Amino acid sequence: MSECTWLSDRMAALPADQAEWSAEDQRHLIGCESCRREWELVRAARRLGEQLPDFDPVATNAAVRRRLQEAAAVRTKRIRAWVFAGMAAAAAVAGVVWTGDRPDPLLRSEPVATGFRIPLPELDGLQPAELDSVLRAMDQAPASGATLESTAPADTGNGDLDFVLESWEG
Amino acid sequence: MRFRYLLAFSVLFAPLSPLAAQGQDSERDRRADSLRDRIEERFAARVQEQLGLNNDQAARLRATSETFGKRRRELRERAQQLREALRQQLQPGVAANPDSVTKLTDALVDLKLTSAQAARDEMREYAKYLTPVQRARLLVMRERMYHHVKGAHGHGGRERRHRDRSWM
Repeated sequence: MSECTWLSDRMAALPADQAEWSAEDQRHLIGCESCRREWELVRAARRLGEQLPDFDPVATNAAVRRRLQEAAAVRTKRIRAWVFAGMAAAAAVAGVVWTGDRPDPLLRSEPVATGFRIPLPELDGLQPAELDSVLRAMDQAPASGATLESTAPADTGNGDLDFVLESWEG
Repeated sequence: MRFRYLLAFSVLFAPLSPLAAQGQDSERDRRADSLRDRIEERFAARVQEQLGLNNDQAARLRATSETFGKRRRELRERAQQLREALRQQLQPGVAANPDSVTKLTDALVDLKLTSAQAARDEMREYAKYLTPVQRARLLVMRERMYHHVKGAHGHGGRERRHRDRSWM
């Protein structure tokens, strides 16, 4: 074992209050710059350690636990806020989609058996409310006995046919 | 922290507002198309029922209706364009261009004659497979429907984008 190694081991093992070296060790420290610097470093470290308060494991444990709990509470709040925002957004999107896909009550009634249409260009340009009005009138006509489009030539004499025929004048 | 939540909400919902407006328009168009289809289907069902059409007559009526329906729709659109152009010319306080007014008026009268000719052709086509009574009943039903639809104009029409004042 070299002199330097032996001295380095002793530096760590030397009690804090004992800084006495033998004459031989002192001669080595004076002559060896590396050992001298190491010894200065050890002494500086000891001085710093002496300035620290006594370590209290119970208090430290409690403080660490408190900090962890606070961090967990903040994280939980943040997650709840994002979950709420996400659910609100999903509800809004679902609302738009649901109302968009909801079938019109009129469209659900009275299935059509014919499977074909007679084009009525006069319906072009009508808004949904006006088309609703037409469709409702068509629905009500048979029930009320009114004749929206059921007048027959054989029914001559009734006002419906007269109205239609008169509308062709001029 | 609250500001961050508000920011998050803004980021989440901001893209939805134009989508919602666009969605309302498309939803209205979709609903109008559905209702129109439904009315035309129901009218066809009533015609088939009240005229007592057999399968062959129903098939031929479908073909004729589609052909002349397309023709009537084209004539109607053309008439709307001409009326709108004439309306622009006859605005109060604006000097009308006599040449344009003459052309537009003549075109509208010609279109009315064309429309009448198309109606005559359609009726002649019906005469090939409908009895005289069936054909007359169909004509009356169509006229009644036309007047009824005309009467529906303006019922809930606040949404109307272009009011149709057809006299054809």
